[in-house]
Amino acid sequence: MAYWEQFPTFILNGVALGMIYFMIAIGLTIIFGMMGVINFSHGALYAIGAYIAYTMTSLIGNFWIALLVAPAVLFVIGVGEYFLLRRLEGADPVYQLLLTFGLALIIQELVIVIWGTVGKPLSIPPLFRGMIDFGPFTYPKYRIFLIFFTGVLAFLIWLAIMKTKLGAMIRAGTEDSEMVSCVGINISRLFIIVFGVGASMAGVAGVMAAPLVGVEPFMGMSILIISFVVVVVGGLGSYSGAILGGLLIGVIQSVFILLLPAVAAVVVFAFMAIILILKPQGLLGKS
Amino acid sequence: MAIGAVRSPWRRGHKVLGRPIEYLLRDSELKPEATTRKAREAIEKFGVQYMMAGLGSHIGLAALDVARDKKILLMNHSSGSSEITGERCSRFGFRWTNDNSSIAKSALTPFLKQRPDMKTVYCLVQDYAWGQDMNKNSQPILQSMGLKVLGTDFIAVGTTDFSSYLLKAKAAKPDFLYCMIYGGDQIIAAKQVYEFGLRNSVKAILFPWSGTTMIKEIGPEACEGVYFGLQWWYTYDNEYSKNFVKKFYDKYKVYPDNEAIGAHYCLKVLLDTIERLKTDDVKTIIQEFEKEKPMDGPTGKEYFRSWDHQNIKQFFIYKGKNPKDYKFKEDYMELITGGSLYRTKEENPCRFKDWDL
Amino acid sequence: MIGKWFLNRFSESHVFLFSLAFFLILPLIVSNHFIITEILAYAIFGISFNLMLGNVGLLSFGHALYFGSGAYTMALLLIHLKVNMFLGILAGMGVAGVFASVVGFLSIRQYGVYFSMLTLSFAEMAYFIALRLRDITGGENGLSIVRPPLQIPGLFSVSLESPLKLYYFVFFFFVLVLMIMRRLVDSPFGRVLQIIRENETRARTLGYNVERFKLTAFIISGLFSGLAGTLYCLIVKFVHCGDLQWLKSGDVVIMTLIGGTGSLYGPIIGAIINTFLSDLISLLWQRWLLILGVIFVTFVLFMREGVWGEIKKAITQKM
Repeated sequence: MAYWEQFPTFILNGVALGMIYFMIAIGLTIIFGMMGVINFSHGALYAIGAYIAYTMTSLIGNFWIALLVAPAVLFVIGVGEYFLLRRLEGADPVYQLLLTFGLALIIQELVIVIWGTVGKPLSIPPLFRGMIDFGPFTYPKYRIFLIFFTGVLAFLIWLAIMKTKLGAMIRAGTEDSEMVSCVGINISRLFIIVFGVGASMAGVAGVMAAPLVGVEPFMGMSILIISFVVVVVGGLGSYSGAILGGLLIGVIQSVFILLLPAVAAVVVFAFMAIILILKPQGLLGKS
Repeated sequence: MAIGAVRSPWRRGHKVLGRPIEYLLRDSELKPEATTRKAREAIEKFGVQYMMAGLGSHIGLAALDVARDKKILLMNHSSGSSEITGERCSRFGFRWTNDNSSIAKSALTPFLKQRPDMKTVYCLVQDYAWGQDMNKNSQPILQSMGLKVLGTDFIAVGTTDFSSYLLKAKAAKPDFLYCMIYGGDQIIAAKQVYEFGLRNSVKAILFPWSGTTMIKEIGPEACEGVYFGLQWWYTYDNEYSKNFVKKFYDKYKVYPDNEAIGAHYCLKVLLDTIERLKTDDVKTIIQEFEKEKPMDGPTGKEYFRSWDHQNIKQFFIYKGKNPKDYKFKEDYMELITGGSLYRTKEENPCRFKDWDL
Repeated sequence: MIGKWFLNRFSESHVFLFSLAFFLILPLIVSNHFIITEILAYAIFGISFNLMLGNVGLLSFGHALYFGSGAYTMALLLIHLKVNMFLGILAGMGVAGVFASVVGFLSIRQYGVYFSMLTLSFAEMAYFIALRLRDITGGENGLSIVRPPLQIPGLFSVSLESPLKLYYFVFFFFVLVLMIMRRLVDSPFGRVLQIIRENETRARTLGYNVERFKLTAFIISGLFSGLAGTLYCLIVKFVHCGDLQWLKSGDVVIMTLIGGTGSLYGPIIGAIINTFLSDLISLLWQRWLLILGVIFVTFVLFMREGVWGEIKKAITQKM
């Protein structure tokens, strides 16, 4: 069938989708690993990134500057959230979750107050419009760029986590944050950085995704729900889990659209259920 | 979306029958239970006789239930669900926009007549009520016009990535890409259609049901060269439209959406009829509408059908313009053709069960 | 020690009786009978939901699944089989219970916040499936029902069209659920739940099968959430997929927290506040959810015990 010619494009779609998922999952999963908090507002942060992309494009006419503005703004917001969460230290972690949920609602409504209920148009930046001819198939330039760019980011993050002192502290913190503070490392400074960077990543994901999926107020919650599937499958607290989970879910979604479109929406949930039964801590998660 | 209710005798600028009108605006909170509750409360407390509602079908249907129950007149200005003037119709409800089931006839048929070069088609269907209905109604039309359906894919609502479906469609090499997708998904799909260069691979792409808000969200670049079915567009050239657009733009500095003009028309004909008949009795007004006298409306002469209260209006196919043809900044679309075909009595299960005259 | 326990017991019965009296005479004070009937249904939903949050300490973020499935079951049975409403209620509870069993089985092993994520995911999955099965669920359009009379065939038949009669019908179930929950919370089963919430390891050492208790509580919570759903269906006469979605789950979370998770009566207060507040604010500003969100966050940060907790603090401080 003609489908097999298109197979590489479906895989590429899955990868592109998966990299977006990864960018959101990495923030979610590291924050959870270190602080035991599941940030229900992570999707809303992604939405803010997308709206920043829209605002930069429509106000200044420059999309690329959003890649600088969004992480900066989201870093500040992320740190702000951290300080709010700090007030709930010692209380049942459930309250932290509730706080982030409340924040998610507030952010979603504020977005509507500022930009309206109707979504905003955002086109692919002129630099990457059009297709690339790979011989047997063509593929959009922007998606290639997205895969490449997020790939580089993922690599940089990996480097930071594996090769730097900060990264070592993060890794240690994910294992045992009490021990880390005992050893004399300023654990709260570490948390601030992790939270801020995690939020920035979500923002960058929003900027990158915006030209593809559009900008609308409810995009945060939709992506959050999928992100949960990604971290459950990959394993909470694990960087490689975020990559694996992201790519796996992205590719599964794309391929099922090809094979069995009727169930493509729910297949990832079913997959998550299977993982839960067979390996509850996720594919690469720690027990 | 608000439920606006009209009731005499309080003043609010406009007068009817020498008595002023009070508008009660209620937020449906996008929940049917809030819609139902607030409508019933307004009726009980303020003696409301007329209601307007629209947009989400679940809101429209919930409001219709209340109208049917309480025997008050409901003008629905923008819900598309065919059930509103179909299975769940009520003699107390009227609806301005085309119903979903008529769009296949009112959009597809005129479009195909314009494009006899369409020999093969690939269909993308949004997998829920409207999409499935649309597909069911479209397939016979496609076949009767002699097109070969190369494939039909059902896409889950809320899909943010249509790329796989679009690539699959592209691989089939159809003349015509028929996208039965609505709402937020349409915006994404249209952008991705543009992104994947489908305009260069197929001869024509049609989104049979769109709206002014969606076109604005999709953005002019992605709309260019693509066909969209619209209830109305703000450059439509008739007296009513031009007047309304001018007043609206002067006041709000943006071009109105089809929901706005629909609401305006519904309220206007209601008030005009009340004034003309010198009564505000609900049943009398309903019977007057049922006489099917054509009235000046946004798309020309319009009237409500007597047996299902569906407004008969024109439905349009517009095409995204080339930016160098824009006469002003928001001049995205050009009119291609229109149609006014609706379900026949045999096809429509609507039978008024409430209140036999 | 015993005196304090006695004091608590004494006060609790008073609160119970006060609640009954309050809702009994409420229709005479508030003229909007539609909204207070809705509040009763949401109160039942909140009480059931809080069995998990307040008593077991697990936050389920997908409770709308049980509420919504109860509502849909009632609607479908009324439309297709024209059953007696009591049968509809039982069936609605049953279906909700089944869903709770499945989700509970898959999720209960997971601790705290992980559990919340899972319950949300499963509820959303159900929402998507419900949307897809529009031949059954009406999809986007939802389902309308005609409210049947309250009847026992051969014995009596009372129409529930008057808002007042409907209110007292729902009130009957409200009292029933409240009584059952009181008994449950105070029973040995309830006490084990408390031990689990306070110190799970200790519960295990004491020999309790923690998973089994949690799952049982979850199913009970699901059953009564389903009951709330069936009543809601009868009240609003309209069911749609949004009743299964995260917004509805979020609704009950918000109302329970604001009301107070520490007691059976907290969710009741929450239901009253939440419903009245959104009704009121939406009259003034379409962005009522923003105000509600801010109020919610304020409570989470500064008044975690909710309104109930604050009242209790005020009273005990006076002592």
